[in-house]
Amino acid sequence: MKIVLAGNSVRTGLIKSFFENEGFEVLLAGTPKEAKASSDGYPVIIVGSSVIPGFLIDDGYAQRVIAGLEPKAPAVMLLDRETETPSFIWDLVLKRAVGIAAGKRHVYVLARSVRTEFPGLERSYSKARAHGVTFIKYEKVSVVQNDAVSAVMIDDGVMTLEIETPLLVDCAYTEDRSVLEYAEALRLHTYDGGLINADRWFLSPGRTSRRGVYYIDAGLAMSAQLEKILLSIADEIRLMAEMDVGPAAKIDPRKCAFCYTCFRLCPHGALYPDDSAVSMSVRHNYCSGCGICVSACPANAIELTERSEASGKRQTDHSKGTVAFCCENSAAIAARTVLPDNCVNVIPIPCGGSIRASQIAAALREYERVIVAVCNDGACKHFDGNKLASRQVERIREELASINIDPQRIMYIQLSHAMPNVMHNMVDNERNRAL
Amino acid sequence: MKSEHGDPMKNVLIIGGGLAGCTAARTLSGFDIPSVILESSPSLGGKVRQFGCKSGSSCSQCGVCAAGNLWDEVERDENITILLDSSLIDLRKEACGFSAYIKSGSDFIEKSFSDIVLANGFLDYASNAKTALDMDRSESILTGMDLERALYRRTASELFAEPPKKVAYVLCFGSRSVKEKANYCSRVCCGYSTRSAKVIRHYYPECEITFFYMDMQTTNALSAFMQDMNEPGIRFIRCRPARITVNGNDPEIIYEDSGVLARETFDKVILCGGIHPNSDNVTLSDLTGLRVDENGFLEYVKPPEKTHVYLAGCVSGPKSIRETVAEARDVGLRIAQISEQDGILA
Repeated sequence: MKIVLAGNSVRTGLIKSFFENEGFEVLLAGTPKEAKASSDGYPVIIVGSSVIPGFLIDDGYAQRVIAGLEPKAPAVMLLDRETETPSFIWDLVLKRAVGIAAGKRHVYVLARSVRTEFPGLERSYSKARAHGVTFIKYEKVSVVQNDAVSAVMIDDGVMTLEIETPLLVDCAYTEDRSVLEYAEALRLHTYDGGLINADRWFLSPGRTSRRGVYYIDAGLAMSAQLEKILLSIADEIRLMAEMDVGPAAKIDPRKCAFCYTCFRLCPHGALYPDDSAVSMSVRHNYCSGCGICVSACPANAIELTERSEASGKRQTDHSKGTVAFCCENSAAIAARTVLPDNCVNVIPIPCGGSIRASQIAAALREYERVIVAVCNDGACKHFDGNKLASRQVERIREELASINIDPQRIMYIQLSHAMPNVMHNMVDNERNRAL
Repeated sequence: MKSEHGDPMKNVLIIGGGLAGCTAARTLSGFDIPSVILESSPSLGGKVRQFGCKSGSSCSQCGVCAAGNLWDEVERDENITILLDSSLIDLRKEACGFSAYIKSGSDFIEKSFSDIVLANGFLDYASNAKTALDMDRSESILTGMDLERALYRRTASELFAEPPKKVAYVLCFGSRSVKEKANYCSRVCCGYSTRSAKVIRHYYPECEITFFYMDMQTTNALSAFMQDMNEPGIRFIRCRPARITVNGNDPEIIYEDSGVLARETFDKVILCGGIHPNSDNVTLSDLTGLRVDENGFLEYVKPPEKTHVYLAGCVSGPKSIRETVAEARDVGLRIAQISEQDGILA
């Protein structure tokens, strides 16, 4: 099985040998262009390389530095100076602090907050304390750096303290921004000004917005977490090759107008212009079956296999008066929990973005009211599906207003499965209003 | 992928029908490996099923959605047998696997299993402590679980029956404390307190919120989020409150502020309770041969592939939803992979 390692990290070699041991054939891609070219056929793993202070990760270097110091002078590790220090750096800091303290040298660890959320850190703290490492929480810090000795002034709001030290280690960690070029080339969705994987619950571990494209920060290479992440990625790649693809987009080449609308809108980068024919094609490994392309295609050339039949052609009871199109990731679960069977026709849809104007229009002909219930902002598994749905609803409301039909017959709400009463209340209020 | 992986020799006993147990069962079912879930309460889902959504105006990535449809999927799954109101009475190691003696309702069942997954979760410290400390007579003192239920039951306009004006969060309640025999971080209460505080502010923008904290664990997912918390009306006080009492109807917190003792009354006090080890852990350790660590959680003595006893979720220490799901899937995959290897050897 082949995979592609992209990015220029110093630890690419280490990760390469890990995957080779796991039985993969590893290709390397050193530029975004190469990564893009290989991404068509194989899973891609982007390796970023955030910078960790060499003193913390290189034992030899650290020992040389310490050996050159005058005996008994204290060492100071300064954390959280400008930005907050991530927990896994604490792991390195504590190990190094214990190492220095074991050589009969006093160590101060200065931080705004003590991190405890990383597994195993508590044991490292007790070990460091047993070795005589001093921990101080500060609120303000100022540093005067000279050639030989630095003066660190700290203030915790009640007391101030000045420490003079020949060894001041700033434990700041710099994030690797160069991976963003890869992200752009591979058309990955980014969050909050350039985070590839901002801890979205559906994007862990190491997953990105595209199936088959992964992102690892090799800054983690020293921590025990990295191997776990690599193992789970290896498992997932193997599984993906074996699994049936499930519901996916299917394009009718006779209808396709080659207009690139689906290419632009697909959040997973699954649709691409096929040079050999005059039709778009689907990368089945990447398609999540959200149906956003189905609703966007102006030529009605795309349909979903499997799932569309289950949801679209469902028998519904028109006497109920209300129909609810519910995203199956959130609203459909909430509706199953709280709505009694006999008040609303619930139609599950794979994503809010898959709802078509024609579907709503058809529903308006048969029902008194139409509810479109989708995920909260930021919770959509397909990134912008809820916003697409909201725009679709706005457009139809405008249309309705222009032909003198009450636009409030279409209702739009955002919710998650864990707040079902919001759904229940809306239906209740509507019914009371109708009575 | 059906039948390719199916291994007639495999039959997994999962103790605990919460998030970890159900996730492991679903992962195994993907490989056609049958499993039995043993749940002591009358319904599946454990604590996570009571968790509410922590999105205010937008999603805060709390991870509850990872559970979404899981309970229905487990109930529908033909590979999974669910035994509610059940408990494990005895477990015997046999030449090939285990023989388990199970009490299910009023029946007793004896059955053989090849692997055991322990996913019996954690003890919610705050709920127990609240009763013990005689705080439960005040409805204004909520535990983390109470708050979760309120979040679950919320409507579009209402979170609490009465709009609160002053809310206090007490973090690390029963964790990082030698006195409570919990000398470790619960690793979730920073997350849920800051996230739910945003929901409270979303419903009641005027509400003042005070955090009594030791250290905010905000670096990874929460750091960008925490910057938004830096707004008027939100106070962070670094101290552990000396006492929480009830003054008339309202809860009162006595705490140290810059060396001076201060008293303050709040409309609502939320105790962000620690994750404590389950009381079953000692019994399970005796039955399975795993070790109880210094905090009361279970830990492996030998690699689980050798003993065929696996741990998933908070049974081995505090974990977030995301970590629990990842670990439970990992356990499922490991059992499935071993079954593949066995198949090749046979």
